[in-house]
Amino acid sequence: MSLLSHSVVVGLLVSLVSFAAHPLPSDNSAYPPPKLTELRVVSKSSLGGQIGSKVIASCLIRSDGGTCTITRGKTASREVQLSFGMSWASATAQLGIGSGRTVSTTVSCSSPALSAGTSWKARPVGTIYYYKIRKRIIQAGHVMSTDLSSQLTAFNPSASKIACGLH
Amino acid sequence: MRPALALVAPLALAAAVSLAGCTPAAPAIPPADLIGASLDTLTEGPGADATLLVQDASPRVGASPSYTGDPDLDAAWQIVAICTSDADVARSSQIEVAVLPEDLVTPAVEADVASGSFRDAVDCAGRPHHG
Repeated sequence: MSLLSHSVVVGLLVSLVSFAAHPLPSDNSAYPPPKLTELRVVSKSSLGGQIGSKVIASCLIRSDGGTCTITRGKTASREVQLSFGMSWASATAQLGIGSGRTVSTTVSCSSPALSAGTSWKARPVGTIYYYKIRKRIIQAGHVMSTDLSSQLTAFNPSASKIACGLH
Repeated sequence: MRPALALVAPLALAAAVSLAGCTPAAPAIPPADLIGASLDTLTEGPGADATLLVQDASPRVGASPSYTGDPDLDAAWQIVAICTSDADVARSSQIEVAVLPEDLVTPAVEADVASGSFRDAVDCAGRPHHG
């Protein structure tokens, strides 16, 4: 065995002995306190009675002078923008809206008499929320850093309201 | 007893699974079966959970449209054309029908319906199964 490899073996043995002589501490005092991530919806405001952009049902009139009625059961999507990895469930809870991805509407709307080939469309009506998400890193009760998202929006469709029209 | 139990238990389980598999499924309802039926047959039956589009085809028989969407009046309307998103009406999430008031469905209109004259009274986009 060369002198170099002999030194390595001896050094390794010393290290193992040293490790055994100084076992891992049993209390937490030797570790840095854990970093906690806090995500909050902040600067929240809302505007009710807003018409959503997505068409949830469309009916092409096939009888000249006929009507079309779009009935219950249409599904409107609940839309929530997220940031910093905040979960859907946490964001909807803090916004105070339902956590389901969709809302089934219960109302119907009838068109006036229309020319054949005209489309009668239904859109959801609901509340738009404006908000930001704040991310804070907290360690031992001290805020280590704070980040704020850009302006985010959510749309919470109403089950009992839809808006119908030609456009 | 143990070996016997070890033999019987899997057989009993297999029998239970087999019996469960034999439970008869509800027969499919093709959309054509709803032609000539009153609208409440659909809205209170196999189409109760679907998104429903109702086209009032009254102008085709010289009358003004009057369907209001009031479910209490669905029994007074007859389905003259239908298309669905599934071959089984009960499994369809999207249903479109064309309707006429019952009192406008004369024998001549019935004959037109039977000959398919009202098939184009529904659009059927995304609902490929025709009645």
